[in-house]
Amino acid sequence: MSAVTDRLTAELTLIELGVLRDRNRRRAGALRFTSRALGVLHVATAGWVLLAGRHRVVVVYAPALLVIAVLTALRQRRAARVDGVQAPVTPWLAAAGAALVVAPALSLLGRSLDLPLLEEVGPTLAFALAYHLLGWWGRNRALILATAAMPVVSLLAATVTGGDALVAAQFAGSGVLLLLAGLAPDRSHP
Amino acid sequence: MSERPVAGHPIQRLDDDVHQRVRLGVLTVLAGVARADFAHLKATLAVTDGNLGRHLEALERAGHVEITKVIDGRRPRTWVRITRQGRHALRREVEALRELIAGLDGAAEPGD
Repeated sequence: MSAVTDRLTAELTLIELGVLRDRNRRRAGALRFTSRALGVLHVATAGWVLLAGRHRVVVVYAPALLVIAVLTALRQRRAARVDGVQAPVTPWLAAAGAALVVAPALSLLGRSLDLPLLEEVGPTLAFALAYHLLGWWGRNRALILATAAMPVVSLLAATVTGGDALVAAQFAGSGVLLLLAGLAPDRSHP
Repeated sequence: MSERPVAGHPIQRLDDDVHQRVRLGVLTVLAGVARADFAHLKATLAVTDGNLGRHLEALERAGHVEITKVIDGRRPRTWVRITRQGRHALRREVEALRELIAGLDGAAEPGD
C-alpha cells in the first residue's frame, strides 16, 4: 500500500470513527429523564437546605443521586428493548459524583478561609461546571445553555440574599434550569 | 526485494484483529454505549448479517467483545458489549492511525 493510500485510508477511517463517536455521545448526553430527575432533586434540595441548613446537603443529595442512577439505568434497559441500543449512565453519574465531591470541599474551604461567597456560591458553581462539561461532552445544547445560566442565577441571588437562603435559591434556580434542559427536544438522533 | 516496516513505525502497532473497517466501526459504536444489539449494529454500519456475524465472531474470539444471545419475547436477540480489552485495542488503533497520518505529514517526529 502506498503512503498516499495509507494516509487516505487512515484519515477516512478516523473521520468515520469520529462520526460514530459523536452520534454515541449525543445519545448518552441526551438522557432527558436524568436531566429532569436532577432538576427535581435540586428543587427538593432547595427545600431541604431551608429546613436542615446548607451543611447537610450531601445527606440528601448522595442517596438521591444513586436512586436517579438506578432509575435511569432501568429506563435505559427498557428503552434498549425497543431501540436496540442502551445509552450509558456512567457519564452523568461521573459528572454528578465529581460535583458531589468538589462542592462540599469548596464549601469547607470557604468556611475555613472565612470567604462567605465561596462557601455559599462555590458548591453550586461546581455543579454548574460539572453538568456544563457533560453538556459539551454529550453535545447537549440545552444542557450547555442551562448550565451557562446557572452562574448568572447564583450571582443575582447573591445580590439579594445570603446564607442558607442563598444556597437554597441557587439550588432552586439550577433545578428549574435542569428541568427545562430535560424538557428540550431530543436531538440525539440526527 | 522485500519491504520491511521501519522499526517503531506506527503500522506495526495496527492490530490485525481490529484493523478492519467493520470491526473498528463495531468497537467505536460499542465504546459509546452500554450495549447494542445485532440489528442496531447492522443498521448503523450498513453491513449484511453474514458480514457482521463473521466480524463479531472474530472480535469475540480476540476478547474484544462479549456476545449474549437471549430470547426476547418470542424472537432471539443478540446483545453485544465491548470489553475492557476491546476499549484498549480501539484506543491503541486510533493512536496508531493518528501517528501514521502525522508521520506522513512529515510534521511530527516518528513515533510521536
